[in-house]
Amino acid sequence: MARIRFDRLTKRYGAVTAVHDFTATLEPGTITGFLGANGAGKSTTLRMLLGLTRPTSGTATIDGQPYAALAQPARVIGAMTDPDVFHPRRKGRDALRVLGRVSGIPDRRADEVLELVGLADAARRRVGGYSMGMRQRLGLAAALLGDPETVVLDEPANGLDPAGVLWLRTLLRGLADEGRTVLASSHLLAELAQTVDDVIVIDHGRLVVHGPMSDLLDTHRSSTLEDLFLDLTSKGSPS
Amino acid sequence: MRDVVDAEALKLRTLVLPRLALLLAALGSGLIGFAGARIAADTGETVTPADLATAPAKTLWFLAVIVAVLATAGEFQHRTIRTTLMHAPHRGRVLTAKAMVTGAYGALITLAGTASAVAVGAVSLRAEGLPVGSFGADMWAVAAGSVALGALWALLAAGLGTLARNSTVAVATVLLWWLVLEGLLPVVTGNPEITRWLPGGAADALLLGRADLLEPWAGGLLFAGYAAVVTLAGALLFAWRDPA
Repeated sequence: MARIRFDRLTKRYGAVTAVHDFTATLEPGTITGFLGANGAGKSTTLRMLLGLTRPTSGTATIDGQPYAALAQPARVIGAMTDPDVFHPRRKGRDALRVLGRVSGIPDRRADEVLELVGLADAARRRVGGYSMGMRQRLGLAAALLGDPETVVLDEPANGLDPAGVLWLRTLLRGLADEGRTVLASSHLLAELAQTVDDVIVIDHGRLVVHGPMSDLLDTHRSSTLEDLFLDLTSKGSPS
Repeated sequence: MRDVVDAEALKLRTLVLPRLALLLAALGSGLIGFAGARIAADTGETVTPADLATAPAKTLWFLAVIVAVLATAGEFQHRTIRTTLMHAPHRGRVLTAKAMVTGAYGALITLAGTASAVAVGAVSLRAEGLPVGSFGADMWAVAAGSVALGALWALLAAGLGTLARNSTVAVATVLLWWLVLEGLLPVVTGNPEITRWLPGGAADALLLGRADLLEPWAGGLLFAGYAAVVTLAGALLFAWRDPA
């Protein structure tokens, strides 16, 4: 079971520090909500985990290995960074076949995950004709393609309608029940509140808190995730 | 490595443009071969199979350039580079696979077009009642040179696409260089000799074997050098600058 570890992870863009000294370890088999306002450093942190952005210092590892050292990463960790990562003139099924080819994943697995995310009917249509929600589902399908133990999703609920969000929650819970580790970021708290076990709150690039949601709610005497989040992030910020 | 090459090849096969370019190459080159025969009929000039093999070369290289740019710059523009790298995080391997696949495509499209021009041209010459000449060593030499240059142009374009990360900029750079700067530089520098050292001059040396240019083998080598430099520059930038 893969264990994700961020160790003093830092990313600077010139004078701006996007992520500062971020340290956290994710236990296998849990859904962790990665919460923060827009621009808090969530996406940068996830992109560093996925080897897309190089840290200024510190490390992000999967079972002790950096992402780039994984031979077939899709089979270990499935990820979705944003829904606009598909060629508009490629068919949905073909987009998945291309990705699967790298890890020796057979084409029928593409059909399976398309079925799983409810895109089987649109499989042979070009992605350019997909709605935002459909592209989001295709991104989820791509993340699940290698049947990975760990799933990392950046803002997976973006572009989904209320029925889609409900579907996403059920999907995430199902993944965790199968023993997978799920890390999902969101700036919309209500979407995740009913689904997550653990919460990581990041603000201005710094870790604010990390722990089981129920404990955190008790400790901070908050009744909802929203209260907790506002309570935690208002302390350190100038506003 | 093999899987990454397979994936790159599948990327080209699952888009329309590479197939459309191949079709255009075959049809357009056939038309060029036909036109060659008509010119021979109208003017009485001799048109040999080697001439027919030479005629469509630049058009074919340009089609190879467009598809090769799509394979690299297109990934940045459509941000597919993110998913590409998430599945194949070794950046060097991805670029090597792209070089292999675009180079092979460049060779293939040039081969298809050259064959079409020679075949249609020869049939048209015969239909006009003109001598076709021999399909001898000189034709094969021209065809082989043209196919090799098709592969090298594709490599160079793939490298440019990796550098520019934008299809329009990469294709415009090739066109501007080829059509404007190569003609301008000898004039501006007051040194007509410079042509033989430029990429277009080097390519012409291999294809046409002109006396004012380098020896064909030297021209081919020089062009390969240009392609290697651009590819290497693209690879360095790709290694250094994060794609996201």
